[in-house]
Amino acid sequence: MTVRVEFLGMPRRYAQQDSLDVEAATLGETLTTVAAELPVVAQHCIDGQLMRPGYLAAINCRVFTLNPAQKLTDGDTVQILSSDVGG
Amino acid sequence: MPPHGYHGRYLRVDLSSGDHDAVPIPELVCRQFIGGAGLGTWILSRETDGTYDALAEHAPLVFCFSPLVGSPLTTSAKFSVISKSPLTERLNDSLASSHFAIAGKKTGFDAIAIVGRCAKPSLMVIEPESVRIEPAGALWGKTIPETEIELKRERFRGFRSAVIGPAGERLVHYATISHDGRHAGRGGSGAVMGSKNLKAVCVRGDRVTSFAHPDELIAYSRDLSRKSLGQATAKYRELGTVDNLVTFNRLGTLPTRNFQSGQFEHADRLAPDVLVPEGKRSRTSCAACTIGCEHVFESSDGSKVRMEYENLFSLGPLCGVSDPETVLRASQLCDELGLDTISTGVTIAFAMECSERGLIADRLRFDSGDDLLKTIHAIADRDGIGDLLANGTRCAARQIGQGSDAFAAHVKGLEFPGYEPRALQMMGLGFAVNTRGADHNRSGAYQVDFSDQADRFHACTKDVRLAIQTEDEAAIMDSLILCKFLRGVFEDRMEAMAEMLRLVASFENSATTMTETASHIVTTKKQFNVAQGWLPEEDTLPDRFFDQPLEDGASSGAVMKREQLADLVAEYNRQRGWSPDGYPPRQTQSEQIG
Repeated sequence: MTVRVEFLGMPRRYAQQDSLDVEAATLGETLTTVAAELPVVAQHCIDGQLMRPGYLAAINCRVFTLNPAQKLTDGDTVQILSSDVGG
Repeated sequence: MPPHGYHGRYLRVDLSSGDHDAVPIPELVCRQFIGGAGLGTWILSRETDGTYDALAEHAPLVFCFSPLVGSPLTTSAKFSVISKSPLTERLNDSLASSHFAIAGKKTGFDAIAIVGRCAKPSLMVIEPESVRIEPAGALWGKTIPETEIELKRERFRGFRSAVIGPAGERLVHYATISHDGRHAGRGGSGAVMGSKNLKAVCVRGDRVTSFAHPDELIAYSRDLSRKSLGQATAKYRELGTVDNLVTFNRLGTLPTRNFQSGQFEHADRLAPDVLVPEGKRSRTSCAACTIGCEHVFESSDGSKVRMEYENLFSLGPLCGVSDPETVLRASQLCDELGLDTISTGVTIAFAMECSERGLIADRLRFDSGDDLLKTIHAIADRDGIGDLLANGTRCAARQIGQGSDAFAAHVKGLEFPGYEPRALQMMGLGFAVNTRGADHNRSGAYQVDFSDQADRFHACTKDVRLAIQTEDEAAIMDSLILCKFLRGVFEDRMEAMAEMLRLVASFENSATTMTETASHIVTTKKQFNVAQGWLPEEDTLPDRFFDQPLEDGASSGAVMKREQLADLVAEYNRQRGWSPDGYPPRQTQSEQIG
């Protein structure tokens, strides 16, 4: 299934793009795929199937999660952002 | 001998009589209130007795430093301004940064408490051995940049100054006190200073405090500075808080057109990389800061404007304005006139909605940059509609009536910052219960909403402890007066702050005792408010947030329920150790000390 990964804040700066479409069924798979496609994002934000400290994922802009087993469905969006949103 | 890091006294100046004296600060007070907002609250409570008018002659205005000021700890060059707020009629503490803090503490005092009123517009000049009141002369009426430039000339060489602009002189209830272009912004401390006919406080000195463990402190400070350059602060350094606008818009939490929506259709026009062309943006920092979060934008006429998320949201989407040049100009105007950008934007957005609904005769349109700029001038001049708006949203709603209080975005009179409480519901609780009113710096409960620990659309009582934790951390950070952008650097914030206090003042604390200190400070603030007439019904949100679900964007459908917020507030009060409706115990140690 296809999910769209959106980069917000610092992740967008690292990715140098707004989004990336990937094939994945869980958040962990999504992060692994993003890391393979965009190593610079992995370097700062992703460690294997997990977010690095200071970063967070949201599913469809509504549920914030760090759980790599979080299931995704076709058409979902995943936002990758700094966990210190606000300030 | 005072504890390390302290002078052990504050300066009390009576502008009416010209008298001044040094008031001792007991060591126990230093331990229990630390400095900054905490110590300032103690001084304010000590200097007052019962209800009083925030702009009365005898109303105190307190500048308070901290034991960390003058240390090599990054971001520690800050001062706190504490008074009763003319906007909220409750306690207000606002913070600002830089050399005024260092020079102020070098006068040999941990705080400066000002009461009374000058007969004519004046400056107050403080050095270790003298306090002088001088005529403000032609400075009265000048903008903040004009005043600061004048005060840097020959006569005041070596002094650092905190000044007010025309808005403070005209007692606009959300006027700021500024130093070096930075503002103690919220709550109208500039109006309190203006009511004393005081244009500027100028400080200079050579009195330094000792540190308990200087070698360890230097090593710790080096390590903290190194960490402050890492990933935890990258966002502030690289992008600035202005970048929140894009993220908040995507998440549906960007207050738009007076909180009628959580999404702004033109947000992309105000994205930081669009706001000004490449190369027209620079970065600066406060004294003794390694983060350098301040992003300065150059407008088309060459003016340089400091921009943060809060002025961008309040003078942009909240008023429906999407022209970058207009938002930059509006922000610059507020800085020059000495207006809090949040309260200015929210109050104007409220007036725009009133105008659209036909509740006021004046024509103020959402999306109109001209109306925005014109109204900012009118507020600072107290001219026409500006006079109505100069006392803030709550006062304006009371005068306009016709149900306008339902969409007047304030709590206790303090206008909302750029966080949509229907979609950030723990923040909604933080706004409701905070002693200062709707504020994101004294309660950082949005951190809970933006985490995997709570459901931001359905805040529940089991998560209240997390909101309290952010408030406690803020109470300590604001008393040490450390920059909150350091938060992410620490693995355990309370432990880290306890360690700093040990190195500077030799106070032994654990995370647990620091939390107790925080709770004590928060309770003392609440006691001040109770003494000023606080009532339980103040701890709520405007009707809009209960009655109108968000209709568009990623937070579509979000709404707060009245009974839900009531349960959250009751749980908050329970966990604070207060009565179910929010009254703290009558007698605490702080009162005994006082």
